[in-house]
Order: sequence, then structure tokens, then C-alpha cells
Amino acid sequence: MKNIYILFVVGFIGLYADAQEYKFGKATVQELQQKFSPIDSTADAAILYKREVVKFILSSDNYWKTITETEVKIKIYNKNGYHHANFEKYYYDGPNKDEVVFLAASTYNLVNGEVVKTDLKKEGQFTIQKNKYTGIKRIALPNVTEGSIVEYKYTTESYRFESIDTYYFEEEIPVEWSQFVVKVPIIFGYNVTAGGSLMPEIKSEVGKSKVADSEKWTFFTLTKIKPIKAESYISNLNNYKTLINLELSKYVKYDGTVIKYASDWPSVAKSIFNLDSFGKQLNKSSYFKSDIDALLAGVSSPEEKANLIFNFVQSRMNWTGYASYQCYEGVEKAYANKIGNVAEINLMLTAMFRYAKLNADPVLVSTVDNGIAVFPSRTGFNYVIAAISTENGQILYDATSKFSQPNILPKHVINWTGRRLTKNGTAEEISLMPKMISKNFNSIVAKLDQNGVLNGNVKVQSTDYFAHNLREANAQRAKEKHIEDLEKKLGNVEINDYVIANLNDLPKPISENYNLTSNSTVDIINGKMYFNPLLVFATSYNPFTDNERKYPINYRYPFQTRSVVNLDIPAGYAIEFIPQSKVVAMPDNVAKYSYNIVAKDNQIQLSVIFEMNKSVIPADEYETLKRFYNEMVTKENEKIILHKI
Amino acid sequence: MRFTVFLLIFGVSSVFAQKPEYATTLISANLIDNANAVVRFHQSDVTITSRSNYNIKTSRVVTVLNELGFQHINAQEYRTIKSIEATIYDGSGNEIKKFKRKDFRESAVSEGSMITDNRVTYLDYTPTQYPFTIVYQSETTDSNTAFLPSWYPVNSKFVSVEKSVVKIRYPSDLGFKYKAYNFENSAIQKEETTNNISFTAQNIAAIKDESYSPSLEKLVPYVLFGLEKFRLEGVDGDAKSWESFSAWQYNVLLSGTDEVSIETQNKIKALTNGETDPIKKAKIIYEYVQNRTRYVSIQLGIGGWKPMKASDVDRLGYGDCKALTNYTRTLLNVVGVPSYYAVIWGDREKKNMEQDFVSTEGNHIILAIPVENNFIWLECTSQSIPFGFLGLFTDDRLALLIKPTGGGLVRTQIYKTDDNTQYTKGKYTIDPTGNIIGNVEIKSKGTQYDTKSALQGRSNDELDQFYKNYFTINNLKLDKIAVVNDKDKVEFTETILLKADRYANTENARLMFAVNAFNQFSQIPQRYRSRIHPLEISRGFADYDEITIAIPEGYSIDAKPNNYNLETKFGTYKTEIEQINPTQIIYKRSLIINSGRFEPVEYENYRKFREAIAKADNAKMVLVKI
Repeated sequence: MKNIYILFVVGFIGLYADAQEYKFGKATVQELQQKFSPIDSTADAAILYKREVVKFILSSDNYWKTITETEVKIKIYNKNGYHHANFEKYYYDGPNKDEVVFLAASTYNLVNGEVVKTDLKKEGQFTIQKNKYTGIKRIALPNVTEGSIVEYKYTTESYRFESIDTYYFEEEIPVEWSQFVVKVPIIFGYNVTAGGSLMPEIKSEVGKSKVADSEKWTFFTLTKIKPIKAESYISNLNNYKTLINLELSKYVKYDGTVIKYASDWPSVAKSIFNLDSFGKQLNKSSYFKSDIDALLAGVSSPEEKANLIFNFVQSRMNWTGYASYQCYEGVEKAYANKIGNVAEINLMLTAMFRYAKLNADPVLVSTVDNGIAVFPSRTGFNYVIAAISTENGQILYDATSKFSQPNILPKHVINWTGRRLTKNGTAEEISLMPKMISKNFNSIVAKLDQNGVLNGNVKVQSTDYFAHNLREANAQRAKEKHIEDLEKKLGNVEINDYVIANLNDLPKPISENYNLTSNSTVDIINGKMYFNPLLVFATSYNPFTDNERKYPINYRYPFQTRSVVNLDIPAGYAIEFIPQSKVVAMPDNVAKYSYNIVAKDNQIQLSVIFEMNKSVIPADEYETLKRFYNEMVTKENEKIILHKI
Repeated sequence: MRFTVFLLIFGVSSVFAQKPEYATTLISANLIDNANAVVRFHQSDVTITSRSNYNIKTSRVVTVLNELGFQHINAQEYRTIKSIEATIYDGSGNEIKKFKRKDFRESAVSEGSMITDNRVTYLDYTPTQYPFTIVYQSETTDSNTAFLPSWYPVNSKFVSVEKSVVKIRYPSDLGFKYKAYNFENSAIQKEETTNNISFTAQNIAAIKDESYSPSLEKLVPYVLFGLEKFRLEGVDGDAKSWESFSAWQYNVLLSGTDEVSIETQNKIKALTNGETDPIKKAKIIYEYVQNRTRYVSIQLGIGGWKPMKASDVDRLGYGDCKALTNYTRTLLNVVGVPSYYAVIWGDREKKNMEQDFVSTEGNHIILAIPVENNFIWLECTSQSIPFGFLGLFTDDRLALLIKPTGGGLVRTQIYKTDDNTQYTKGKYTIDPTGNIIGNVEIKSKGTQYDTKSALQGRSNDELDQFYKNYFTINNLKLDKIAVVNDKDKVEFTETILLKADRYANTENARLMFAVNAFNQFSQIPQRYRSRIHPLEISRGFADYDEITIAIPEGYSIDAKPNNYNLETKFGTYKTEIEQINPTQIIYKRSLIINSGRFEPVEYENYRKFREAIAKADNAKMVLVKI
């Protein structure tokens, strides 16, 4: 994670000048006449100005609150940019809810050389309660045409000052000027993390407000920010955005006592353990005791115990779909109802492991959607799994998915690193990225007849993540669809006698066996047969077509695919041309491809192995990777030529 | 946002009971086939008490066989709830959970809509096992008798039905009516007594998804119910005929909404000043609306049926389909061009208003301008669609014209096979290493215009991606892409310069390559072991290609594909390859697919036709060094 760095606000005196070109609350003729963004001439719209200021206030009943004031000014260049004139703000709408108020919203147009401003009245503001805990405020700005400038300003009041919403500088459109300001009374201390590839200018000063005589004001500013674009094979685009994140580290009470919030990993671990919804839940065992005693009766091997417990929880419990490392109903109730959130299911699992005297701990995780937790904090995480230390290393478990296995985690969990919270209070960083090589093995025994019709038998074995993917895909598939999908994937073939084994027999690799017939694999031209020795299994296109790459290529897990073809050519034909064997590798054995072909009498034997030994490839190796795929695809598209004897 | 909320709702578990009749094992095998869920029993008792009130009692038992069947528990209500409850049983019929009214959740129906006042109450349940059976009971009431429920015993694919019953009780003075559809394939029992009618369906096997099959509504039995004298949001209405229904909608929904300020009127008049042709006037105004409005979905007022006032649209510059259509109508009216607000079903799958059953239907509004014996149709929600062009979303179907008098159903523009053309013209040069360099121009009209015009305004990166998928050429590099949208001719032109390394295989000192480099119709429809539904090709199209291929000097043709000429009831496919000089070859191709509906057995023939096309499109030429 080389793009993440940590800022220490103290001592950082910035150099930036207050020289933003664009002002909020007005639009100039020049701005309205602008035809395209100087940052990216193809952009449909651009943010000319965005400023978010977080301040502290006291509520009427004397509680601390934050009030965040956001101002945004957007230039719309063409019709494809019209949706930027609609804005929605999601907010927390549960007990002690946030309050969002729109203070201004206007559109500027150039009419006969004059700047005309249209204000949005109440009629263009809408509130929707999405569910019990989430509300949405929406505005639709009036009178938008190509060239318009829209601006709006809103405030968000919140009791959740423990964690201030992450500020992202980069957007999917260009940003001319973006500033994030935090004004914090000195009785509060915050840890600041920054991430992404851009370095904001930082300025700090001392200020005062209605609620505090002394405050620390920090200004983070970036200008002329290029739009951020998604690429294939990436996890979460937000992970790559330049961002500022603040997390409460201390609070000085009126009597002078200092309440410290987690700012190093041991205290994070401790504060999480101290939560009733976490540590207390982990220490309970009476509710499962008799069931687990019965389950483990006569079993002594730790490995077997772990597997029995994992299978038990996985089959008993049903995940509500809610992610959190804190229990909501509590493990006992969840156990009785057989329904739970992530924490209930996996803390229960950890407790059972411990009860069985296995060296188990919970592991805090931030899911792919949630981004990456880099700084010691409680709020960076949103998920928990279990880990057991064994003689052969650490094994990770997640019992929320019906398809996960020891060390085979659902894909939303595979997000760099997690923190293992041990009994003695440490929070050890552990890798969540799979190390074992998932394998896919295809064995094809086939025959070509004199009309070029291919008949063959295919055996496929899929292990680890390949098996996991098949199981997940199959659960989402209607009956009979499987064969149809396979026929679609392989092109114009007919599949018969399809048998799949171990689909629901979790730890085992999945085996598939089928017969296939195809009359379109061979081109017969002038009495010669042309065909690909990999038959219908060749990789015909390079998945990497972009000319350049900004973000790492994330495969999630290392893998190996192997295909062995034994093909009988028709009687009366001889081989006129056969491709050469070849080996291609990326430096440091990151990826390797080998293609071995031999012809003997009327039989062709081909063995192809493709290995990807890393789960993540850095962006600067993109060119090499693209070339590697090119070599592979070129080789796999070469044809054998047969002629009549 | 890093704030997590956790919510979970549990029912009160009290006395647990057993219902062995719900056991999964009792479902007959033919209902399990292709089913993700089985409706064991469904009864709706609808009582219309007056013009302004009806009640529905629902009792439904659904066995959910797997995760995919979960969505079919259908435990939700949009009407006012008097009572609602549900009980869950396991596969053997043992009760595992009970849900009372307070366990149900309420939320806004916000899908696809920016603003709405519609709300839904639903059961938020996490299944603990499959299969399970849900017994759901509710009683609801509603005052909008314009929206009586209809009866769809099968409302989804992959769901089978053991028994489904609807019973309606109605007063004799409101002109109660019904119409049954697709009864010929299913055994439906009807019972009718004075002021009562009921329908019962039994033992209907699940419907499988098949490509190129007609929409579900053309396959399953259903019954529509309605009142000639109904009420909508407190306003009495009349649905005796489409004409009277149209007049009513005009009075209630449109009148009073079509006024704009004098300034706007003057501006509009000035815009069209000097223009006498009403169609040209209409075009100026349509483009004016396109330039200063945008679509924002707002579903408020009279069940979401009343358009925003034209004066509000004029001020705000946005609205939904109703508002923007009505605004355009208002402006046209200012300059004396008559036009009609038209209700329609908008969907890429064609769906008609029911010609012989007058009721509240449709989900979209377009505008019709009468010209002689025909209409010019305007889609008012798009900022880029050409004047008078509808495209796939609203073509070839019945729309209801809303007029004070003389309203009724009319068919929208039909795109015939010959209207939907694509001309591909280009050349490519192949060198001895197998690399190609070439250019191509593609002109699209009709429905093909509709599909391609979405490319306008896309970024270079997006276009690059699009063409890398569009052409089946490996290692493709796009040197130049230009797209031109001619809205007057309704023609979309793409001009592309491209090159690709190793397009041809070079094994054995030969160059082998697919002649048709620019327009392969390579997708072959799914094969079905036993095709159940008819084959439906909803729209036809015609492609014409002419490609010049320059081959390197010193090479001669070793082999070339045959000329094809396939003629079937589904369409025709023709190719012609001619060498005009030692280094130039001309490849001509035409592909015409007709629209039509065919018997299920024909599906395999159609698939074979497509298979033959795919193979011929990929046919290779071999060049050998002289």
C-alpha cells in the first residue's frame, strides 16, 4: 500500500496561497462562456469549487455536535453532464439523527450576455426516508442548459463527532479547487489520515469560535484535480482516491481529565474488547456448551475440532446481510434464532473455537466496499472473522457464507490486511490475501472425424477459489442453466452427459465431466483442416486492452490453470503444420505460461499451464503483463493444419 | 461513510404449531421442475363496496425451494393495511416463526424515481433454511377504484402454482367488467353469480426462461377487472369506452395544467416567427424544449398520474415524462399546432394497451402531432433524440390519445425491416506478417440508429472500449474514431481508422484470416434440449457490407470461402467474394433478419440459420506466397 501515507497535523505549516480562481455565490461571464474543462477537455461537467468546513457546536441540550458546511459549484458543459445538476445527500436518520439543511441552491445562465441567476425554491427539495436508519435529501437545480453553472450549499449536523466523514478530493469529473477545513476546539484531539496519490497543501492556524476560545483550524487544499476513472480488475475505486480521514483520539473533560481514544493498536484492541457488543459476546459460552460438547465428543485432533465447529456454525447460522464487528441482538439470541449479523456469527465461532481449546482470535476486517483501514481506529473496520493458529500457520474462517471454507473467504473480505485481536491485548496485522494457489485442471480426450466434427470427453477439476466461485455462481443460477451457460461460454458446442461432483461437499474440489460435440471448431478450406489444438478452450482475447493503467491489477488470489489435450486426427490426414512449443514468463516468476505440443502418428498431445503467482500486480508492471497476455493469446490462436494424404 | 447501523426484526415466537399439509414432499413432481418457488395456495377476495372503496383479503401460501425463489414470497402491500401477518414453516410443515403487523417494515418506493409519495410495507425476513413455506395473510383497503387488482396466477418465471383463486364481489350499479386473456392453454374455472365472479387456476407448471420467447404476458393466463364508474383521488371517472375514458383523463389530469406566462408565449411566438408550416414550427419548439429541460422523475399527485403545471416546468426546466410532454403540448398550442398527450407502455419489449378493455394502464407519456391521416410522435424526455423519432422504447404499440373528445387508441410508428439498416463500407490492407490496417464507415438507420446513437457524447476512452468489443479483432488499435449524429436524416455515421497486429495466422508460410473483419454476426442463440415457447423476433433489420481487401504483392489466393446464399423464413444471408486484380478482393455481404412469430419447433431451425451465418462470417481465406 505505497499510496497511503500518514500525516501528523502538528508541525505541518503549509505553504498554500488562498488563490482560488473560482468563488462561491457568484458566476462570471467568463466562467459561463467556458466551453470545456481546461483540466480534461472531454469532461461533461467539472467542479469549479468545493469547500467543506467541519465545526463544533453545542446542541440546545448541551451536547457536542459537529456541523459540516458544504459548498459546491459545478459547471455543466453538455447534456451528458445534466445529472450533475441533481444532487442527493444520504444521512443517518436513526435515533439522534443527523440534520441536513439546504441553505442555497442556484443556477447561473448567460442570457444575452448577462448573468442570470435562478434560485431553487422549496419545491425543488425533497426528503425521502429510505429506511428506519437512512434518509435522503434531494435537490434538482432549475433551468439547466449546456453551459450553466449550478451551486448549492448545505449543512449537516451530527452527534457522531467520534469519526468525521471521510473527505474525498477526487471525483469522476475534473475538480478545479477543493478544500476541506476542520475547526476543532483544543479539548478534542484527532488523528488525521490521508490517502491516495495526491498531496494536499496543508495549513494550520489557531482560531476561536462561539464554543471554544482556542481551536485548531486545519485547511487541506488541492487544485486542478484530474478525474478518477475505474479500471478492470480493481477492488474499490475509493481506495485510490485522495482522501482525508479524521478519527477522535482524545477528549479533555471539564474537570481536566483526559479521555483517550484508541490511537495505537493496543488501545484500539482494548477499546473494542471493552464493548459489550464485542468482548462480552466473545466471552459467553453457556449457550452453546452442551451442543459443542456433544459435537466434539470423542474428537481429539485440533484440526478435526476446528472443522466440526466451523461446519456446525456455517450450517446452523444464517447471515442477515448486515456487516459490523459489533453484535446487535447478541450471540445468545442469534444462536437461538439461527440468524445473525457478521459479528454474532463469527464471534460465536471464535468463542466455540476457544472453548475447544484452539488458539483462536477474532480478526477485524474492512470489507472491499468499506475501503482500507490504515490508521489505528475503531471505525475503519466494519467486519470480523476468526483466525486459528496451528502448527502449519494461521487459518482464517468466515461462517457467514454457506460457501466459504477454512482460508477460502468471501470476496468482499479479501481486502489487503486485517487486525487479529489477541487475548493479551495486541492487534497484530495479518494478511487477508490468499496464498495458496487455486487450481483448475482440464483434461480433454477428443477425436476429429473426416468431416471436421469434434467429439470429446472433458474432465474438469476445480480447487479452492475456483471451486468457491463455481459454488457461488451455481447458487445464483436457475436449474438447468448450468449446461446452457457452459455451452454459451465455450461457443458453439453441444454438451451431453454432464455430471458435477462435490458441488455441495465443501472441502472437496469440484469435478465436472461431460461429452462435447462441435462442428464449428475446424475450418475446412481446400481439403485442408485448420483448427486450434486447444479446441474450444483457447483464450482468444487479451483482457487488457487499455493503453495505460493507473491502479494495481487485483486478481484476489493466485491461481494455476492447466489443460491437457489428447486429440486423434482423422484417418487419411497428415499433419502439415503444428505450432511450436513455447514458454513465456514475467520477471520474478510473477506469471508463467508454458505450451507444450507433440505429434505422434495420428495423435496430438498438448499441455498448457498458466500460472499467476501473485494476487495483486502493481500498475507499473501493466505493460509487462499486457505483453505477457499478448504472447499467450497469440500462441493460443495458432492453428494446426492437416492435409489429405 | 463509516457509520454502521444494524437492524433486525424478530417476531414474537409463541405457540409453535405444525401444518403437515405444507410439507414440501407433497408437491407433485411436475410443479417442482424449473421452479424456485411454488404457490401452494393463493386466494384474493376483493370486495368493492362503493365507487370509492374496495377491500382485498389475501391469503397466500408459498413454498420457497431455494434462494432464487425468495423474492416470490411477495409479502408486501402498497395499499392501506388493515391487518398483515405471516408465519414461516420448515420443509416438513413445522412452524418456525411468526410475524405480526409491527414486524413489517415501511419504506418509500424509490426505485427509479427521484421523488415519490408511494410507500410499501414489506416483510424483512432472513430465511434460516430452504425449503421453507410462508403463510401470508393481509387485509387492505383503497379508495382509488381506478386501480382494481388484476389476477395473474402466474406472475413470474420459475414459479409454479398449485392453486390460485380470485373472488370479486361488486355492486351492480358501477358497471363492473372483466376480460380474460390466454385462457386457451390453461384449465381455468370460472364461476359467476349475481354480483360475484371467481376464477380458479390449478396445477400450472413453472415457466422457463428461453431466449427469443414472447413476453410472459403473452404466455400466461390473466384477468383484468375494472369499473365503468370509478374514482381516482376523490374524482369520479368514466371508463365505458376509450373515448370517454380519454375525455375524463383530459378533464381531470390535463385541464388547468397547460398555461404559461405571457413572456414565454411571446418568446415561443418569436422563435417560430415567419414559419407557417406547422411541422417546422413543431420542430423548432421541440428542439427548444430539448435544449432547456431535463428529465427528473417526480411521482406525485393523483397516484402519480397528474402532470406538473406547464408554468412550473417553464420555471424549473425539468420534469418527468408527464410534465415534459404536457409542457411541449402547451408550447405547441401557443403557436397553434395541435398535439395530444398520449399514454403508453414504455419498454423495449413491446406492450400494448388492451384494445378491448378500458382501464387505467401505461407507464409512460409521449406526444402525438396529427398530420393528415397519421401522427408525428415526440419523445419529450430525451435531450438528444431526433424530432419525430421514437426508437425501441415506444415503437409499434397502441397508445391512448388524451383528448376532450374523440380520443382513443392509435398505433405508434412501426420500424420495418427495411427501415433498420446498417451500411458498412471499408477497406483493409494485409501485410506479409499478418498485420492489417484499414478504415471503415458505418451508417445506421431506424432501430439500429437508436442503438448506435447512444455513442454520441461518449468519451474517447469509452468509444475505444466500445469498438474493441464491437470488432472481433485481437490486438486492435483504434487510430481515429469519429461519430456523426445527423438528426435531420436520422442517420448515425461512424468513421474509424484501425490497425491490428497478427490479424492473420501466418503458420506454414501462409496467411489465413477471416474475410469479414468488420461485421461478424457471431452470437448463436442458446440451444434448448426441448424448446417450449414460440420463437419471437420482435424487430427485423438489414445489414449491407462492402469491404475491399488489399493483399500483399507476391501472394496468391490458395483458398477462399464459397459464396453463400441462405434463404429462410427468418431472413436471408448472402456473401460474394471477387478478386478484381492480383492484389484486390471485394467482399460483399447482406444479412436480413425478419420479424415474426413462429412455432416452437422453428426455434431450432432459426438457431441453425444463425449458426450457419456465424460460421460463414468467420470463414477464412488462405493466401500463399507465389
